[in-house]
Amino acid sequence: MKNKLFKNLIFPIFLCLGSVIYAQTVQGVVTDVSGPIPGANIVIKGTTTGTVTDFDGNYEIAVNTGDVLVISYIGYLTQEIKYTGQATINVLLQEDAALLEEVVVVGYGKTVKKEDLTGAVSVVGSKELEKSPLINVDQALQGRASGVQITQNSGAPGAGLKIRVRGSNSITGSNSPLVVVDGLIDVDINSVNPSDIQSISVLKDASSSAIYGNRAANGVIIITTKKGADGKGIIEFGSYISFSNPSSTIDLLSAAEFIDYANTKNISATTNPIPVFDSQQKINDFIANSVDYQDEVYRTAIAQNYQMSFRGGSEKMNYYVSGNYLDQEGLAINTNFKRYSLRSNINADLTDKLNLSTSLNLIRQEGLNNDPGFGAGLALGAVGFDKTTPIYDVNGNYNRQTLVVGGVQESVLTNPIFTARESNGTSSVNRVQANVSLNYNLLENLDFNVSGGIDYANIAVAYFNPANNDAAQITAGQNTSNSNKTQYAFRLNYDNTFNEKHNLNATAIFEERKNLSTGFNADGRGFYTASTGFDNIGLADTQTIGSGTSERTLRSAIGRATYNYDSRYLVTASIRYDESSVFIKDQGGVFSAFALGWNINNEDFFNSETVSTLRLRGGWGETGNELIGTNDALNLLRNNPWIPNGGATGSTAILPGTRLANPDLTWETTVQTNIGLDLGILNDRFNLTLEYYSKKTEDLLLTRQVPRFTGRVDQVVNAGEVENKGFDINLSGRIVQNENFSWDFSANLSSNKNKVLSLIGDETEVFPGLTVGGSIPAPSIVRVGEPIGVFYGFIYEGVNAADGNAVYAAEQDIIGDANPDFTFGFNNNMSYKGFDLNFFFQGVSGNDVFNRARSLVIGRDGRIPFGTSAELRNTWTTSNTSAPLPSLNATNTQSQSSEFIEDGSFLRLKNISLGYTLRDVNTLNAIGAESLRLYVSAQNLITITNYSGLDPEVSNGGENDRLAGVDIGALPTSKTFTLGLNLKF
Amino acid sequence: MKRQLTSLARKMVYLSLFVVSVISCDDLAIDTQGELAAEQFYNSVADIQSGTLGVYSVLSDKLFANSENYCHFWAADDRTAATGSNKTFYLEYDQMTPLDTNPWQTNGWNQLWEIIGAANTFLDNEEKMRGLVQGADEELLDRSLGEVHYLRGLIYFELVRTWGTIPLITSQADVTGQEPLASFEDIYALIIEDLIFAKNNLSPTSVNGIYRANKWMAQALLANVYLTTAGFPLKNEANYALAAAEAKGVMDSGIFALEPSLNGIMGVQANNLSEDGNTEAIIAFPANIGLDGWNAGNYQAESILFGDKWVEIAFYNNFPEGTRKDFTFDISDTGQIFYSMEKFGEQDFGNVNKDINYLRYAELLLIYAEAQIRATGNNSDASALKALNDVRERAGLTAVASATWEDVVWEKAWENAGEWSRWYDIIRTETLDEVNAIRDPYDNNLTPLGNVLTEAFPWCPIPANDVSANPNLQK
Repeated sequence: MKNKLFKNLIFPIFLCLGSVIYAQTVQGVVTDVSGPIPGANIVIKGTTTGTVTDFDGNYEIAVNTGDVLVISYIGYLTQEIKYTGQATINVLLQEDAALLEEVVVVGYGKTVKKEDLTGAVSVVGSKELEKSPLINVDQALQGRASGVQITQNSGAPGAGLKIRVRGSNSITGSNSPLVVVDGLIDVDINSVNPSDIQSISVLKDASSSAIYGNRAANGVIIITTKKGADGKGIIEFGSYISFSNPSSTIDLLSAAEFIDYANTKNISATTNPIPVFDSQQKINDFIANSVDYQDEVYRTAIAQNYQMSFRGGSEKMNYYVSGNYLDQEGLAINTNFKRYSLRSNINADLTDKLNLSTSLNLIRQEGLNNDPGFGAGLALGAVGFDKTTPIYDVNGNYNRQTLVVGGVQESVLTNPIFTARESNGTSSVNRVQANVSLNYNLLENLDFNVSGGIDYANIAVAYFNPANNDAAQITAGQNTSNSNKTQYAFRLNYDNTFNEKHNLNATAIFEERKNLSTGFNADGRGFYTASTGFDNIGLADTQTIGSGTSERTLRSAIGRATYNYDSRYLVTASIRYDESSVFIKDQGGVFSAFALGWNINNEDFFNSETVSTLRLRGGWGETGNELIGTNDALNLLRNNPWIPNGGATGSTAILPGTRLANPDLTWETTVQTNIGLDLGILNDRFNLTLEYYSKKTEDLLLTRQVPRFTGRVDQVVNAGEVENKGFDINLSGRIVQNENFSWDFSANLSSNKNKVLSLIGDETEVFPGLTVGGSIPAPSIVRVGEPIGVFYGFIYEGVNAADGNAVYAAEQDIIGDANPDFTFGFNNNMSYKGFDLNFFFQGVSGNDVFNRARSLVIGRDGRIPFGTSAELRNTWTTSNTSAPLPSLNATNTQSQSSEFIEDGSFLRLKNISLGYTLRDVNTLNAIGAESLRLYVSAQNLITITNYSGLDPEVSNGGENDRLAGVDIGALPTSKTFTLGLNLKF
Repeated sequence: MKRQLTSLARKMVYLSLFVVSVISCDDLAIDTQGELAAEQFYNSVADIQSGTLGVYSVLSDKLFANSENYCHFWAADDRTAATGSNKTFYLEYDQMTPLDTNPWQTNGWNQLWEIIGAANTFLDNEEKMRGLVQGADEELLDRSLGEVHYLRGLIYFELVRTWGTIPLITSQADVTGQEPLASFEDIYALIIEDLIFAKNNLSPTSVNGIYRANKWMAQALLANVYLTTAGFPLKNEANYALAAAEAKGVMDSGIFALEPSLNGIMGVQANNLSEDGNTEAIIAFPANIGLDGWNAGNYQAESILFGDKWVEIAFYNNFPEGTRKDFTFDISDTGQIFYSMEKFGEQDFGNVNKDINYLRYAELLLIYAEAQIRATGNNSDASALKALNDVRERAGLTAVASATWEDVVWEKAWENAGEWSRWYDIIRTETLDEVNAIRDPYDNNLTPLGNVLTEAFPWCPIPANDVSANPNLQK
């Protein structure tokens, strides 16, 4: 019945178009291994005539003898079948191996069949990505790729995540992986619209990543975006709306309790109550006007995302074009992030031998007050600014500072509502990424490829900071920078199979990359009016300008060969020579790698019913890091103007800079060994991958303090060693698979042990006195024998019941470790008829967090005189000598102590989503669509943790691994509910 | 087949040409855009001028302007500080128990070495600069070299008198940070060599700025260096005569004279070298209004008002009565002895506008008097007594007919009270025990004395940061 209606609707269209009279009709069913495929395209080649399959996979089409039917469906290989008079043509479509992760992208234009892979590579495909609404690409990897630890440091809108592949190698340098998008090397991972992504490969071991030489020591993330395919054009529309709230709040004292507590503390310090709380009438007024600042600062934040894409192609050419708009409100008021993006990927066969592919990505990001540091200030204000001070005074002006001023010290916090509403910090990024590649088929097995790319970004930041008290001055400024990364490469690729068993691929590449950055800033201090914001800095009493430029060039020659014999014995070898302009004498670095693999299951002697894949892999390789400043090695001078006439005239006075030159500076090298085992059972229905690795980074690029008698302050040197050892486990499978119901899962578990083996010379410890968020000291140190990111301080032993003082051990020691023992993810996809359910858990265990924010809210860290936390109810007094918190009058308390070190382990239901794919042809036809998916989802719905702060994951240390797990107050992760739909035409 | 091959060959040639035309094999250029790279500097007459000013810039802006940078002066008997948490860094020295982690003193060390680094960098490029000057510019270069040698000598003199033996860095070219300690002999030899060079190459009047080095500054400093090397620890007693000769050279120049009234020596803006002038200032550092008051004012009234720089009671009690005593001190209602605003200036926080006087003519006269008495062994040497009595008479004291060198040293203590010389004179004359013995019980009770700094080893501990990075600095 449905079929008939369907036909009746389709036929008149054909008749309208019909200049061809068809003699016959053919029918059939299009299926894949698990059943019928509704919505598959059947087109007669060379015409616009076609149809789609119905809910049961049936089709019927009028044809002439000799016509070729082209049967296509997204995610499947397109098939062509010639009509020779058959009555029925049933088609079994094969899933496109690239999407099935059977083929792994390993870089420089090469893909490898999974069974021929020798290195450690994690792959996340588009199917995984589609299950939850993603703001940024890095979110897609969190918990989904083993060996990759992703940490959301801040809940600020649009904020990036910290990505670490198999631990941190470098102590002072960057540990962020290298990101390659469609061949464009070293791009910002969040400049890619997540909806455009086809697959992500993470090259974890050196045998895979060494071909990227420079910076590959931190792992390489290769992103491949979607391409068009031969067949009918497809239009897709997707949109979602989400509602977010803070995942948790801090329990605070009530206004009455706070007043009581503050008066008690002030009286003990000064014998007087706080002036504003010195009568019951005043106290009553304050209680009546009290404010819940957490409630005022946070809101239900709404995000909207719209995505439209077009793809299709013919034999000679294909296209993928997409546009995206994202508008994400921040959890804190007056904070926002927007992104507009446009991508176009076009491939064309210019001649039989010449192929052109182009990729263009235009992206604009706009942020409002979304700097994580600004957000941290609001988060801290929300809990630390006392609730008794109303937002406004009686005249309707802001109470910028607390009214609760006693004889103790002053508060450093400003009313967060004033700060949030009156500050104006904007940022905009306009980015163009383009690359073009020409491939010429020289000989049957030999290709020559030339490619070039550009990644240009214009970043404009403007800020306006209102005066937060009468004495303070307004500051405002604008800051523009341009980053221009260009690159080109020549590649010669040979690929051949001899005697059907010897498969050889060899590649030679020459490549040059250049990064040019320029910056300009203008800042003003002391404006007589707030009305001009940052738009007229010339009005400021004090104006400063600055500008700078930096350039780095990297030139490389690369060779790679892979060989396998009958897909049984696998060999990969690569060598790369890099020259970097940041070094003076010793610019070059050679990074080599090799790996071996053995597909035991392909051996004749191997005969197993259950074990379908058994593969052993092992690899060794070297990778490099040159990420120091472009002139860190140089002997530079600085200007320190001196006035020789006592104020009459100024004169340029040039003297040496603060950094001691180091002409011998050269590459930091990481040597990694990897051993892997792949096991597939029951025709690969269940797959297990085990990897063990050991990495050692030598000649670390460290910034050391030099003795000051050298006249300099510091120097960048090659010294020290860091080790990372660990394992990654991946298990995936199909638990249930039948006609109506399927259940797939994948789970991963990773463990990494980081250890500093040595530092400069005989030093055993460096970098005391690290600070976060400006000037808040962190107890983090780097010590030989310990991982990067440990805490050192006083060991808290409780409260002395006799006098209420804190009790500490005599000696300070290591009191915590911010590195987790394990990171893990567990992902499930179920489908029943049109419904699909995804739930995804992610977590870490065994890591410590320094909860400095708690020290603030219990009034201990010196920044606010009177704490606000509900914990203060249980403070030592002469009548409560067993209380867990020391007395308010305790004189010996320490912030850098184990009292504030907490277990940061957590298990989080990162995503749960329920979708329904409408397959009812009548309805689809009524709306003119081919398919429709509706879904509801929730992110971070449940977090199980013992951490007492807002969020165990947040950290104010940002990208700095030495400051991992330091929470001085940061915007929490949000709990988000999403409604979305995807339409396909 | 042959045709196919030639076609391929042609393609290969085109491709190779294309590739080769793009690829270059030179070393990659190092990024110096927007930076002043040392290798590209000292290339013009303007570079010589700004490079010379660079050596001054740390010295005058920061170093002597802020008393926090010279906590060791508190070890002397003319200073004490209020007790309290933010004065501990002075009190460490006041009590003779300095720590090698004292952050203020470390700041002073760091800045002095910045100047050495700047001077050495300039001197390292002498040959290069020599190659680009001729005519009048040659004089400029010689004078500039004189200024830089003078400044290096001045700073090493500060360093060796404060920390004792230190590394001796004379070129920045291959500094490693692992240099050993040098001997007093070698350090003073360099200082003397630098100052003799300066004396011979500087012009008699400052050029391009009244605070810049001239011949007399170098010669007056050299007199003090000779005097110092004649005492502890080197004890080259022959140098007393040299000290007297150099001081005499400056005195005979006729350029300097004692101001008739103490009110003319310092303390008000009008006494600045750049204002009405000052016949008594030999070495002075300019006031810098542009500086933030906190950093610039501590030497002057601010440090007094903040309780940084008070006066030890014994010192005050032993101070001879007269106009100079009234000029030098103020006493608060509570009996606290302050240095006076007349001598060190009214508070002008945030608007620092008074010179910092480093070496006054009065001190030079006393250097001469002591050196002459010691060199001749004659306590009645007429020229020595004239110099001493000129200072005494201006102070409202009577002239003396004979004086021991000890008398002259005490006279300098009174005349230079709260200024730059007292601690170094105590070290040089090995009188620490004597001075500590007469300390008032009130001060001893408030800030009892320890014994890290002693008469035999009065040297500040080299900052821990440097010692830990270079164990050779361990004494």
